[in-house]
This record gives sequence, C-alpha cells and structure tokens, in this order.
Amino acid sequence: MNNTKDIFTAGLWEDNPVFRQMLGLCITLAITNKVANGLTMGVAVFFVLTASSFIVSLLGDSVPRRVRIPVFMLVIATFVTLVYMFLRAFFMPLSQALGAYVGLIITNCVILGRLESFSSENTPWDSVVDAAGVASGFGLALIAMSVVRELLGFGSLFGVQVLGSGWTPWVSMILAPGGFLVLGLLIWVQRAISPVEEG
Amino acid sequence: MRYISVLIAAIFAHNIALRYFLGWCPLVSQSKKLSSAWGMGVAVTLVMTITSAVNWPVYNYLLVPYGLEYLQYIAFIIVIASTVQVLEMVIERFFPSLYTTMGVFLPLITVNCAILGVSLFMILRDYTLLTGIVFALGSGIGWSVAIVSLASIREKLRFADVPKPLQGPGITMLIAGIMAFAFLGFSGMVGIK
Amino acid sequence: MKKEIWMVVILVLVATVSSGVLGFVNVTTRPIIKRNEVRKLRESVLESVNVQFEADNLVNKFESEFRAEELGGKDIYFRYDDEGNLTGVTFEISGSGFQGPITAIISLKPDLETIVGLEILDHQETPGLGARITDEDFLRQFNGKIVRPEILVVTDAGDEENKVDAITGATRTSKAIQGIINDTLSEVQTNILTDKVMERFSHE
Repeated sequence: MNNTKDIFTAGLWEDNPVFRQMLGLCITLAITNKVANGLTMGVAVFFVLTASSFIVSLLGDSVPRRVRIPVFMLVIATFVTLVYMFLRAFFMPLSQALGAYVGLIITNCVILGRLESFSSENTPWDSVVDAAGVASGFGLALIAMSVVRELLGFGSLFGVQVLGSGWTPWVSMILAPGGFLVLGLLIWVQRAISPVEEG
Repeated sequence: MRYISVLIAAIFAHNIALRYFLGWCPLVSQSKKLSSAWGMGVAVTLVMTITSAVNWPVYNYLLVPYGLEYLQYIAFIIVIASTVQVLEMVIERFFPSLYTTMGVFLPLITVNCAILGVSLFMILRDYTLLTGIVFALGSGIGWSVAIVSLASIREKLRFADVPKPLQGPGITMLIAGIMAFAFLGFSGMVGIK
Repeated sequence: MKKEIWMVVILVLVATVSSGVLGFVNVTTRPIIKRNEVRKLRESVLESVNVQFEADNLVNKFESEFRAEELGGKDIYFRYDDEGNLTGVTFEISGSGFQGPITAIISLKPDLETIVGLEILDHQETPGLGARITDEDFLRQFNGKIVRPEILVVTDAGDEENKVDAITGATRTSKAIQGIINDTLSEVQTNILTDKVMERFSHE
C-alpha cells in the first residue's frame, strides 16, 4: 500500500471507518441531527486526525510499547483542546451547538485506531494521506447521516426549509432511535453497493 | 432520595448508551456473545465509578483554583489511562482467575467514550462529588443493561434469516434503534438533577 | 529498570509539551473569547429589543440606545424614548438548564411583566434537541407574552398570553427556560428593580 491514491480511497469507501469498521459511533450517532453540526464535526475530526497522525509518525519507535496509548491519547487531547479553543474564539454558535461532544473526539476510536495501526509505523506523508482519507470517510458518513435525519426530522437542510410547510416532521428522527435506525439502514446500503468479502 | 433518583435516571431514562450514544464501539464489537457482554459491562462500571471519583477532585481542587480548566481533557485522559493500567496490574496480581476472564477488556476501556463522557457530564452538570459517583455508577449499570440486552437479542438472532449486507453491525443498529424507542418510554419518569 | 524510567520520562515530556502549547494558545485566544462575549452580549441586548445594527456601528448603537446601570451587582440596561420616558428594561438572566448553565438576555416593558424579547447568550444543551432554544422560532414566541402570574412553556400553548410552545423532544430544557425566567424575574423585582427604583429611573 504505497500508492497515495489507494491509501486515500481505502479510508474513504472500502474501509470506511463508520460503515465498515464500526468506529467513532458515539459522535456519528450523537451530533448528526443537523447538517451544519455534522459538517463542523467532520472538519474538526479531520484536523485532529491529520495533525496527530503527523506528530505520531514523527515520534515513531521512540515511544515504549506500554505507554504508547497514553502518549497517543495525550497528543489527541492536545489537538482537541486546540479545536475547542478555536471554535470558542471564532465560531461561538457552532461551539455551543456541539457542546460536550467536542471533548469526546478524544475517545473517538477512529483516531486512536489509525495512530496505532498506521501512523506509528509509516512515513509522515503516508500517514497524513491515510488520515485524510479516513477522516474524509468519517465526514462522508456524518454528512450522509445528517442529511437524512435533518430532512426527515425538521424538513430542512442547513436550517433552510425544503420540504414545505405541509411536511409533518418525523420527531423520532432527531431523537436517539432515529440515529440508530438511519445508521443501520445506511450500513445496509453501503454494504449492498460494495459487499464485504468473505474472509 | 436524591441519590436514588439520580441512580435510576442514569440507568433508565438517561441511559448513557441509548440516550447519549456513548460507548458504542465496544457495544457493537463485544455484544456478539452474552458472556463477553457481561465481562465488558462489569469492567466499564468499575472503571467509570473509579475515574469519576478521581476526576472530580482533580478538576475542582487542582484545575479550578489555578484557572487551568482548559487542561481538563488532558487531565481526565491521564487519569483514565492510568486507572486502567493500575487496575489491570492489580487484577493480574491478586485475582488471576478474574484476570483471565476480564483482563482482555480492560485496555479497550481507555478509548471507551462513555468513560470520558461521564466525567465531562459530571462537571457540566455541576454535581457534588457524591452525586457524581452515584451518577457514574448508574451510568455504568445502564451501559451494562444495554450491552447485555443487546447481546441476548443478538444470540437469538443467529437463527433468523437476515439479508446478507445487513448482517452483523447493520442489524445491531436496527435492534439498538428499537431498544432506544423502548427506553424513550422511561423519559419524564425521573430527573437527572 | 532503565525501561521504566524512559517510559515515565517520555510521558512527562509529552505532557509538558502539550500543556505548554495549550497554555500559550489559551493566553492568545482568551482575549478574543472575552471580546466575543462582550460583543455577543451587546448584540443580544440590541436584538432583544429588535434594533437593527451593523458590525461596525455596534458600539455606537448600543451606547445611544441604552443607559447601563449597575444595581445590586447586576448590569441593568434602561431604554428611553425621545421625550426621556422609560420604554424598557433589559438584563441578563441565568440558571441551570438540563445539561449545564444557561444564560440569556431578557427585555421587558417598564411594567416588568410584558416580554419584549428573549435571546440566549450561552448554554450546553444537547445538540439538535435542547440546543434549539437558540432558534428564532422558539425565541420569537416570547415577544409580547406576559409573565403574570408566571410564564409557562407547555406542549400546546394555544393563544394564551402567558404560554409558549415547548421544543419537541426537549421538554426538560424548555421547562428549564420557564424556571429561569420566572425565578430571575421575581428575584429582580423584589430585590433590585423595586417600585422605588423603577420610579427613580422612569424619567431621564
């Protein structure tokens, strides 16, 4: 896997973190009832993942095995705190809309998973490409989820009413059950389009 | 009375997994078998209660007095990672039989967002130390209820004819959706405050 | 043993570097966050009485529309018409929401019962559910409502003058808003804006 394009598209689709690897589900389920929230979270995760991948690939072998996870978590937590401060300073309404879930990016297993299995053993360039692909795949899932849920739950997209006033909002779509059901159905669609290989 | 209502609320009406979507990665991967679901549930409850009992004083006595609230994510993650490490060593040393059944679940817990989530919610909601611990205990039990029920349903599902692309994670999410509907029925029963 | 020491050294090193970076960024962003808070407060105060403003005349507009007074440790913004008669009172209200503290700005007519406008300053409610208290559709409902005997946020408000519709799926946050308005208002009326104080400020 040295081809830049292959590394990128694997994360985006065939090994999509949400639909294929079932990682980062807390965030995927929790903040996707509005497209604007899904998009912000996607960008935040993209930044944290690529930045921490880069740092971890530089650290490489110098981190002893037993403290690897704590060290990786520290790197991630640092970037997440940076994102939190940045949102607070420049995009207050978005920071308010995401609430405590910004902090939960730290325990997004997508990020730790990539650092553990890829960045710590590859060159900085490959790591950043891999991170960008996986983060884009994550963002894709967030946006797909939030488009379905906002459209059915509010009748709107990006807060703009599109389904007309005659539309009766499906309240359960914006509540917890809607998140699970939409994710289940999207996994079905994704795996129907490109089936999981027997292994 | 207040503690009992927080406990019940955290288990049912405000179930950390089915209302706040926390801790789902292990919920999907560890709910294939009932026995591993139990192990994971116990381990999460234990770590959750201990870490919030440590994180509360760390936040209120170490960070707040010096205006270092912005270090809360880092502080909490260090506490969680080291608690898990210490717990693993203690269990390995003194309860070897328990270690063989539960040990494998412990490292997974550092990245369980429910653990960090409970500590963050506890600070946000301005709980006292004792309420925070009760809330963490309740959330742990609530999480265990979710994973054990999910595993029981999935074990029964082995004999069902599920379309191939929907097998595994897909159908698990649909079950979770129906469970979440059921848990919505608890809302309004007791408050979290 | 050497390995253990190396482990600890690495951990401490990483923790120190990251705390240093965060400390630095915190120092640089804090004034910006502070400035945003002040601007947000002024914008919300102006929006709560429905005064139009541009980004560059915010400060002027704010100072020409309102007279700020600190009474009982609370900033109160008085508004007068051209003849110098008091037309409205604005102040901050706060209390605990469902997830965390909620702060808001409320504008009232001089009777201290009729709501002119409500704006949310800060909150920590659940994304997409309780967080919708910042939606215009929810906030606009309060305009013209009368807090007598108290405001009620209910499922089906109808046309009653002291009731507004709650947010679907966020009953607790809605009830929290109801409590914050009623509690702060009665507190402010009895302790800060008493009849005597209102008399003093009724003409400029």
